[in-house]
Amino acid sequence: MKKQLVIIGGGPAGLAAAVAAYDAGVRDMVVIEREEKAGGILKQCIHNGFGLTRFKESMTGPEYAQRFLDEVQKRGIEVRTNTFVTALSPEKQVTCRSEEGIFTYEADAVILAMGCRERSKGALNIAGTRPAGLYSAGTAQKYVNIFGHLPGKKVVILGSGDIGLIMARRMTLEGAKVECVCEIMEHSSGLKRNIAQCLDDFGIPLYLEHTIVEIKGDERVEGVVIAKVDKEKKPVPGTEREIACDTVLFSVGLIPENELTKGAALPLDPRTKGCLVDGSRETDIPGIFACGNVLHVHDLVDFVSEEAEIAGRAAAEYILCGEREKQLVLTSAGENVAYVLPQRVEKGRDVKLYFRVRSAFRGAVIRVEAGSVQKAYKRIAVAPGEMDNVTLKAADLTDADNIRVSVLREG
Amino acid sequence: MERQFVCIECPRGCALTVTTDGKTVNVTGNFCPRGKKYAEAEVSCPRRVVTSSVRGMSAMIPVKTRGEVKKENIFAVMKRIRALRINRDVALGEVLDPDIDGEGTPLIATAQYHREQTDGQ
Ligand code: SF4
Repeated sequence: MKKQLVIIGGGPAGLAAAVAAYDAGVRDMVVIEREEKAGGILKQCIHNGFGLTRFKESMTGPEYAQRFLDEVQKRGIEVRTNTFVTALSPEKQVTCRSEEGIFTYEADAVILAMGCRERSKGALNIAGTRPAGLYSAGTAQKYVNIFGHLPGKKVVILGSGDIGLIMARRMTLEGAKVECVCEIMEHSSGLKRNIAQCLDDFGIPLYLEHTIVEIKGDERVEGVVIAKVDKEKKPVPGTEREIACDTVLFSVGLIPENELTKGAALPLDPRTKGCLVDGSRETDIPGIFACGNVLHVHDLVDFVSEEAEIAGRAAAEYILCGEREKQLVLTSAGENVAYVLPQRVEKGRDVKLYFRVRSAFRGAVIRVEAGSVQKAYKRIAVAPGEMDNVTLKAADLTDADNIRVSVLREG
Repeated sequence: MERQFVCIECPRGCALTVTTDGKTVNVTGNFCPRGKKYAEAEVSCPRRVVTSSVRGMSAMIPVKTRGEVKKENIFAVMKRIRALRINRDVALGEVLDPDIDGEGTPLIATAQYHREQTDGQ
């Protein structure tokens, strides 16, 4: 079956990419969604705070998703739900499985929008058996918000990512007692506003530089032992403390869902765990684009939508105008920068560079070096949990053979 | 008196300082006017939007308060939300309870819901 554009994933990235591609002239396209309804993770993110950047109002996840679902529907874009993509080939064949059987699309262009998954608790080194009552924060969120089932009454949360913080509040509202949140780092990876409105509002303590060293209980969790960690993140003997609980939530990070990508032999960036892309979000295979959390984990859905639109428009250009010769310049992460995205930039085009810092501090200067062009931007504060960006004009890149982004302490 | 807050109105999360002496309230650290408003409310009467979900026939329906409720009323609001049962189709934005906090704040659905809908993912 031929298709001009196949979009894999019907979450916020896939939906926004579809609308953008349609508006840029593509009609022959399909969005593939494995669940019964499109909308992705937003369906279970019933809290508010979405859309402030994009829509200038505070929306809940389902409301934000519906905006895009409405746009998709208005345009009559086909969304195939309950359909799994089982394989993607470098030749852009997309193999799917659904109740109707197995079928393959021969696509001119593909947009990867599979999102991310939670880092599993199994990857953590905690003593004890594996009793019932251990959940990833996202799974607990699905239980409470979608199934209406509270997984426990006394909760300890490991990791202070945003989903963990949101679930601390959510379970408290539903009548559970959240004993504490332990964060192994010296700062939370969640947004400051979530620490304020999800923990402080309810008097839930956040223990920084703490971890769980043991989980007690055979059939069901009965408690945890927490301890302070040293600079090497090793538990400090003598600081152990037991906390009784029946549930442990893990909010220890998200990883782009790139199983399919690997099948297409696309290389991944070891830092972002996503594809290597240029400013138009095109990967190493011409005509395959990536956007949203499958490319790098975002903290705000507004930026996911923005990135997806870039990919959608670029895919449309590829489909309607053909492949373009690109003169690419690499970007690099300088001092205190964890990664820069895109990893390469096309000369002759403006580009917005997204980056994450390695550590949090106040009074920062962002320095961008692009050949003879040097730019500096001030920030009151920077934090790893808050992706930042700067925009470069095409004229800034004329003699650059590398674009380096560094974040320095002011003064 | 001086108090510190993190503004929750947007992801920037400005660190706000509020100084009050009797009648005047002075706010610093806010990047935009919404931070000033937020801090003033925090020292007089803190308010929050409550989001949750309500039990439908076959699936949960996400909801929020349309406007903020007094922080001290949050758990009372939650009790009423938990007691609600919805046995009909609901449109996004539809009012499910016209007065969820006893002060006139409505509770609305944040997604559409069909009676027969399952909680299928
Ligand atoms: S003061 Fe304005 S910019 Fe700062 S967090 Fe509040 S709303 Fe955002």
